[in-house]
Amino acid sequence: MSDDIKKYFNGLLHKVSGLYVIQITDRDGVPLLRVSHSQEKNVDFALMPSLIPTFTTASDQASKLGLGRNKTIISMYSNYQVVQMNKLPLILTFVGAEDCNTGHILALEHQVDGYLEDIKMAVTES
Amino acid sequence: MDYVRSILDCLASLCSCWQCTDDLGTQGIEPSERTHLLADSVNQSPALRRSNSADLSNDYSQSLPKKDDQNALSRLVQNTAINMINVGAMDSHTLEHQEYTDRIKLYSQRLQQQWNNVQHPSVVMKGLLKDVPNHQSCVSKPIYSDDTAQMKMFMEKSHAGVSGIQIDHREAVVVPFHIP
Amino acid sequence: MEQQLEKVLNEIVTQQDTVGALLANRQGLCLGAKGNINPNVSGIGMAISEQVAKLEPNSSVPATICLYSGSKRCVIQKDGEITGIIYKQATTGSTAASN
Repeated sequence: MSDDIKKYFNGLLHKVSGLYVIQITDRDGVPLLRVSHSQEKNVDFALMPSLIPTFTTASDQASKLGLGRNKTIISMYSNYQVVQMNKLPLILTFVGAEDCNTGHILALEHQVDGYLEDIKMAVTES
Repeated sequence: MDYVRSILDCLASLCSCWQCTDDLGTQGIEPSERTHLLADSVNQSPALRRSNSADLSNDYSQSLPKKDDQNALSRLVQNTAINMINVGAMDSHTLEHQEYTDRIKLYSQRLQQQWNNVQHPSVVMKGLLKDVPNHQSCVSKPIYSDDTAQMKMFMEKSHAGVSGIQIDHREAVVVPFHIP
Repeated sequence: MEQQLEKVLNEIVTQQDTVGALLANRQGLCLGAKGNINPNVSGIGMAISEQVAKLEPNSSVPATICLYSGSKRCVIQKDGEITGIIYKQATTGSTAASN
């Protein structure tokens, strides 16, 4: 049944040109859902075990700067851009090309919020 | 740019009063999923913590009447630790491979279960002619020359405006934070 | 810092029928917005203009896109690195162009 949601996220992925990966993990980086562009094989670093926990800590620390809770961190690299959203207990990660439309990625946020509520239950319920 | 200004305003008000309202005040004080109990700093996954939380709160409530002072003190230390920006704590733990795979299994299992109960927003085919009730009127929409002229002027002036953006800082670039 | 840009946006917004104006950079992030317009549309506006640009890949003139809704219309143009978006309400006194 989770094919439905996978299909939905795949659709989102293809809406933004230059977006390679959408990944939903828990705060320690354990993946719940991951969709990626089939042609792009070099973006496995999104699965790097330290990427997500590092974001979680960075977001934690950034929340203490006195500007309120940290919601999103955008990281620009020479070949990629990584947009990570703090949706605790979930972490939403987008990996795209460096010239990818960041504004469009950010605009996806409110589209996925409803689905995240459902996925959240898998992490929190005991 | 309004956003940047609001951030600056926020910073300015922060210097005069640390007890800001909004969500600033809530930081670190209310116990949340992230709250560490200093006595029990062993990392526990949220999934596991849930099952242990009953034990933890029991321990906590038992120690409360006995060592009231110590408790208050430790809570003070804890709040300070929470509010402090601690880059040293950045070398985060990594999950054991076993727990990692276990959790993947657990999550996929739960998702599967849940998916049978969740009501799916059915996939509705969308189309311009279906979505727009009176498409005849759309086909006959005119293109206003004013619009294109206005846009042309907007873009020309914007190019000049964007190239004119530069930072003119008047205050110190590095600001010490007053952490209690 | 960006007074000049603010001035341009203010000037555009005060024109006839104009409801809001927004400017996005090459990342689809909002550089500035004035009037009744959500800064979050910057990314989508730029995405639309990029799709439209594919219709005429050899054109050197930037395309202007006009989207109509019930009571408003949205004019988008991407020229070089920046994208402009203008919201306008149903016209009261404009003259229709011949094409």
